Amino acid sequence: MTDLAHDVYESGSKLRMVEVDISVLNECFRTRYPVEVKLATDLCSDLSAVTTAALKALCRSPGAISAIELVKSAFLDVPEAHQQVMSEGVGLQLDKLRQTSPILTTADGKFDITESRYRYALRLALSIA
Amino acid sequence: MTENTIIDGKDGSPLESERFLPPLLERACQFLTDSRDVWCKPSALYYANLSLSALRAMYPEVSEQFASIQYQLAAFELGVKEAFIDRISNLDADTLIELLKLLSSQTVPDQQLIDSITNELIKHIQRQLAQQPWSIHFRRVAQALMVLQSTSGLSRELAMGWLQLIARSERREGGGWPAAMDGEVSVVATAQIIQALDAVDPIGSADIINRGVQYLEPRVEKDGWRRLGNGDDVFAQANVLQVLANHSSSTIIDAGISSLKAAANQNGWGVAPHSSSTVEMTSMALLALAACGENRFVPCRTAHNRLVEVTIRAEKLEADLSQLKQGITRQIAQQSGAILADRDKWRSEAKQHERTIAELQQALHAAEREALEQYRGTRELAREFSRTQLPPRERFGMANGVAQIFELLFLGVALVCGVGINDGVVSMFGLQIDAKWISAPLGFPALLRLATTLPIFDKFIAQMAYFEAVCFGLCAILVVISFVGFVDSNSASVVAELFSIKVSNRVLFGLAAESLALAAVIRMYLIWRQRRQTRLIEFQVSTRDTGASLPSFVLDYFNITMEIPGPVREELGFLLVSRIVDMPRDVGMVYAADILRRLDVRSGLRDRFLSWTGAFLSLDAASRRAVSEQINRLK
Repeated sequence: MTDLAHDVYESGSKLRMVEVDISVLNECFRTRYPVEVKLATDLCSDLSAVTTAALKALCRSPGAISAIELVKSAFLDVPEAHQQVMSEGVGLQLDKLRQTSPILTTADGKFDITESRYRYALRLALSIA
Repeated sequence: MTENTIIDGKDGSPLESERFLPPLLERACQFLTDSRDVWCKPSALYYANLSLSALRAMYPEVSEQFASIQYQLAAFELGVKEAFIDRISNLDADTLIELLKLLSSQTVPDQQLIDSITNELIKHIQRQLAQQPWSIHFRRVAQALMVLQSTSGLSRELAMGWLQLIARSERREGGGWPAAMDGEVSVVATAQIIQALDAVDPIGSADIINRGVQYLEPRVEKDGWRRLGNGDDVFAQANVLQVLANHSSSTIIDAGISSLKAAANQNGWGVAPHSSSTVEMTSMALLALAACGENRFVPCRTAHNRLVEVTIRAEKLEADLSQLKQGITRQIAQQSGAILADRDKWRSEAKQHERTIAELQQALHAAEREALEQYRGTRELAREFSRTQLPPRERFGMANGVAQIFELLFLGVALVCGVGINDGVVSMFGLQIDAKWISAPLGFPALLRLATTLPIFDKFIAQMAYFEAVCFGLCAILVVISFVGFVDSNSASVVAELFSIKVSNRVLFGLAAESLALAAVIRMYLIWRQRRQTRLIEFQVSTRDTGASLPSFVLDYFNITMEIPGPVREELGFLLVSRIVDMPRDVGMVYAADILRRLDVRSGLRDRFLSWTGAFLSLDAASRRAVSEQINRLK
């Protein structure tokens, strides 16, 4: 985190910015954690809109969260019966992603992001950073 | 269901008299209609667009299917406008794209709103490209391209710029596109980019589209449809099938259709085979199957009629083909016959040429032999000619000198005999010999022989008439003397006193007869010699204007070339008289050297010939022509 902050400071100094914006942070993060960014990009590359929305909800979640909670968080005004159906698919998809990527983890039927840098990388890949 | 089957709408009214939908697709459409509570709301724009697209794909001629939900759709559209119109500038790119999709599909689109959303979307993407190009999602760019193309909101320059960005992002190794710049190649991103290129610039981007298809097809053929994406992934299968439906073979497409149908539930599709159906996956699957033509069927009557037409046409084509084959076969046979005739003709001509060549070779050998003989004769003539160039006295050579010695000896004996005689009788070796028998036959020829040693003889011999005249004159004098002596025996004392010999008239007459005989012999010799010389003179004619050295040029030429093989000599002689003779000296030397090297003449002969050529080319033009003419005549 300190290193990243230093990078942001250096970049802002180079650009003679008094106050850096989010794009500088993103650029520095990408430079410092290219592997994490690539893993996150690949994770999101073939996702459907529902799963993408669920991943966005996961990124916003402070801790581990179940598939139904993700769907409820992402699709607030969808009827509950449909939320249940959607959560089944979301759970299935996230479980597949967890098996192929180190970014996601699961415990007690709840999904979480393994590390904070992966979380930010995922936010970048999902364009919510 | 068959032809004329009526598909009922929700209210049971006929939708289309000859339309047919498989039960699966029909149930899926019904599922979408039933799920409108999920998608028919402003917060679910993406799902609304997807569902409406799928339903419109299934029922292109519209609209009774939607009759039951018309009011709901109208409320939805109004809700969308109210929800987003005041905060367009705060919307993200994905929402702007979905808004544009929805607005552009309306019967009466709100152009002003569309324009403002278009501008906002372009601004959004351009800003992202400028600030964080690495974070741009190609799927999003592809979607934006397609929707802006449909609303005519994209300028050509901007479209080209985005297309170039897409083209630059293509992976060089194996093709395909990643979801974003830093990622691995993605089948979904690749499929959506191909779809966008197809919509925006199908001709200009044909190569890129082909490369994208060539990336997708092997993935499907090698791994199968079920392993696309994250595995058992209906979303990836539907995306890829929708694109390959327009680009691939029926084998691949059929396999994709089968795989997608196998993943279906009773009422639609879930994220994976047999998982609960969702609006998104059902819509995606319906769109893919519609792209493959699964919602379009040809009525049996039309198919039958078309089949009959095709059969008749095929039979006609087969008949034409058969006729064409026969015609070609006939033509080939004719052409082959002509070719065979030509071959036989050429063979006979070749044989004729072989015979001619053999005859020519024989003639060449004969000519070579004749040329050799002529050359030998020429050399002999040349030797003779060179001998004629010597003074006559020298031509007699040593033999003449020896003869002169003996004749002087005989003359001395004759004189001694003439001086020391007693009564005309010489005592010699115990024999009594009449001096006239010694002095007369020996002395007179000795005098003549002695005369040939004098320089003036050269002139005489050169002009035989003089010599002959001298002989006859001498003969005449002797005859006169002997005639006088015969008339008056005392008159003979003139000669007797001259030689101190008593010679009778009869002896003198005899001497005259001898002189006459000698003159006749000389005459015969000269006639023979004149015949020989005629040939020499002929040889000399061509060179008489060029000085005495030209014959030696000719001789040297034959001396040198005699050691060269016949054909090479022929070639060399031909080139000399036809080309080298007219060349400047330096050019001629180079040309001759080149010819000699090409004809593989050995080095010694080559040097000699080059030396000769150098001397030859130093002559003036007339001399060269004279020499070459002579060589040409004698070779």
